[in-house]
Amino acid sequence: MNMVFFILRRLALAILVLFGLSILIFIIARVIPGDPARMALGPRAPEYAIENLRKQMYLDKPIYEQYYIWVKNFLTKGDLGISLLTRRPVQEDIKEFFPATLELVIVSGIFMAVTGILLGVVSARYRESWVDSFTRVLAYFGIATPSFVWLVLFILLFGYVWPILPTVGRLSRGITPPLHITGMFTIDSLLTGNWRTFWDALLHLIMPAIALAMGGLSQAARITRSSMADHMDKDYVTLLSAFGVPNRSIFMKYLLKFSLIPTISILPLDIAALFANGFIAETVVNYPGLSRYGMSAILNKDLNAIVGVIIVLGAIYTLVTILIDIIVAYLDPRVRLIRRAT
Amino acid sequence: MSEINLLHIENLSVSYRIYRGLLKVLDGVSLEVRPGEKVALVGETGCGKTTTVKSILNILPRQAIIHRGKVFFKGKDVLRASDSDLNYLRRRGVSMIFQDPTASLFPIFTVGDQISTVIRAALSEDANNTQLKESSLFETALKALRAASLPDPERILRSYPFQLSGGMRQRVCIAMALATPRELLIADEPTTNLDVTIQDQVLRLISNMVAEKNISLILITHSLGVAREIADRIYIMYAGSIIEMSQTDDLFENPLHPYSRALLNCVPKLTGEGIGQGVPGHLPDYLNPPLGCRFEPRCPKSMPICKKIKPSLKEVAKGHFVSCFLYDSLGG
Ligand SMILES: Nc1ncnc2c1ncn2[C@@H]1O[C@H](COP(=O)(O)OP(=O)(O)OP(=O)(O)O)[C@@H](O)[C@H]1O
Ligand SMILES: [Mg+2]
Repeated sequence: MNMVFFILRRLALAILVLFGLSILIFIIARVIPGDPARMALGPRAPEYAIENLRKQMYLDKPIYEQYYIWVKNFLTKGDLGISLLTRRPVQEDIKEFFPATLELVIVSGIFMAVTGILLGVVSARYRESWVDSFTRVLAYFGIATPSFVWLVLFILLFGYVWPILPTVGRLSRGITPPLHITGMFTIDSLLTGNWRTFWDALLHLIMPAIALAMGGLSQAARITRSSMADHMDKDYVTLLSAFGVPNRSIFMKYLLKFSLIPTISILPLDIAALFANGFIAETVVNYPGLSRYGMSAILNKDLNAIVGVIIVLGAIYTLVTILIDIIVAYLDPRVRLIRRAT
Repeated sequence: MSEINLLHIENLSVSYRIYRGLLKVLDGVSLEVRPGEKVALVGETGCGKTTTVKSILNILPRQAIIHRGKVFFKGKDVLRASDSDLNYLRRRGVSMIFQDPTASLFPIFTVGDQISTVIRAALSEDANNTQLKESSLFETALKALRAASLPDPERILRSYPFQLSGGMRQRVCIAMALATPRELLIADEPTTNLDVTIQDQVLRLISNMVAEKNISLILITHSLGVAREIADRIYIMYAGSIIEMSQTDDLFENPLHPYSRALLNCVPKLTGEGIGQGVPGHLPDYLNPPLGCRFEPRCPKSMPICKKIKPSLKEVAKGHFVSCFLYDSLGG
């Protein structure tokens, strides 16, 4: 019961945060220099056309009124306004680009979590072995190297030197996109039983997904390793082995769950960050995703698109934060019960 | 002699590997426990008591290096034991109450969970108990908690360690250690981390349970007073060596080693903490311990030979052993 209350409170808080975020980004988008209408129409457009567009976008009105109109349209119609760049409603753009990025983030996130945790666990279990050293070196590089550098490296290796993976876009030429269900090509092609498309879409995801995962993976491996290694030296572990409890059961049942708490409270945020951080990677492989869309919106001062993308990203972040809190409260009774007491 | 010993530690030397080098902590420790006997291991903090007893269960931390020595439990060499011998030792032979009750339980698992894991392991050693029922585990756990004088054991089983007081946690650890049959109980300073008011109760609980089940006990303590109350025999440890051992009465009537004498002189002041404070100076640096007697730098009776050669533990009266050149013909 208390947990439900806790979640509801967090959700209410999240709405408040998103509200604040929308105000903030609304203002920031408008005060950065540059005239969006001029940028949209180009330097040679006549003055009256610019004026028209400004009117159409309510840019002639004071900023609080603009915000009021925006909020009203969003809350009543789910309307985020017209993108100056694509000349389509922003929500339509997001609907198109979001699934592509979501798909990428899911694959990347799974890879990040599984590999990161596995490396961390194995190097804690076999401390000071070659696996441990390998993981340490890999993690240094993983944290220090931006994802697009990995991507360029992978493309050179697996796109040119040993061409086994596609380097551009979401699907190869000649493969038709599957029926639109979720917008994620892998899932839609699976749902429609189209194996060839599924396989092709998956191949296109591999390099960008792995490249994007490298940073978070390294962090997850380091955190898991150090948390687990810490616990392994503690009395509560020694005590169980002193009582002849089999190592496997100490490890699988007790140590693993306890050690993963710090990882679990960071990893989802690393994954959520991919929604925003993938723009260079998406640009490099010409992948039509949300990151790239958001970045071009910022570069072109596409006001409504900027606000729309930021709100989506903000919503993802706040939801993930709530999710983390729930999982950690579930895993760690101290979080759950001590908060209840106060 | 070794026939009737339940436990026999022979000339054990253990070091810890740290960043700056080797901490040469245990330097040839020997210790014996006979069936049903209660033995106290007394020494100031850092002298290697915990290290000594952890070797009995072969649970030394991974930084530990065993240079020399053997540990026999019922004639079997623990440090080179097969898996099945080790399992017997840990599930049936010896159990230990750890020094710090607040650190001995996983914070995120219930007490019941951890007790039943321990009991399950112990019962799995029993060939007749191959079919373990959760209900019998639960019953055994409840019985153990009750025997450790814990009120409302059902609630305790459902509790997490942080929901219990230090004294309750220590009782939980005692319950764990004695839930299933044992031959030897090791209690590592079971009261040091507890409130003064309950130290006595916990101590009495342990000594009663041990007496009732007629099992052997190694009690580690800072307090000679406590040792006198409980132990049949006392080992006095200094800086990784046993420096004196005798029957309890004997030791109090006739302490031989200068260190023991100094300790006994300040017994009235002792309330469990602060042993060794009556003796000026402090423990040697384990990175570079003295070549000869490790107590020599603090010893009021120091002789030239003490700097050069380490005295060995010798029987100077019946059942009274001491390692000091004062009682050695060499020292004369
Ligand atoms: N894991 C370890 N790594 C390095 N040094 C250690 C380790 N464990 C113990 N030591 C050192 O070994 C020495 C003896 O430690 P031990 O715990 O056996 O002493 P003790 O007699 O039990 O002391 P106390 O009464 O404080 O419990 C100490 O100097 C301690 O610092
Ligand atoms: Mg100790």
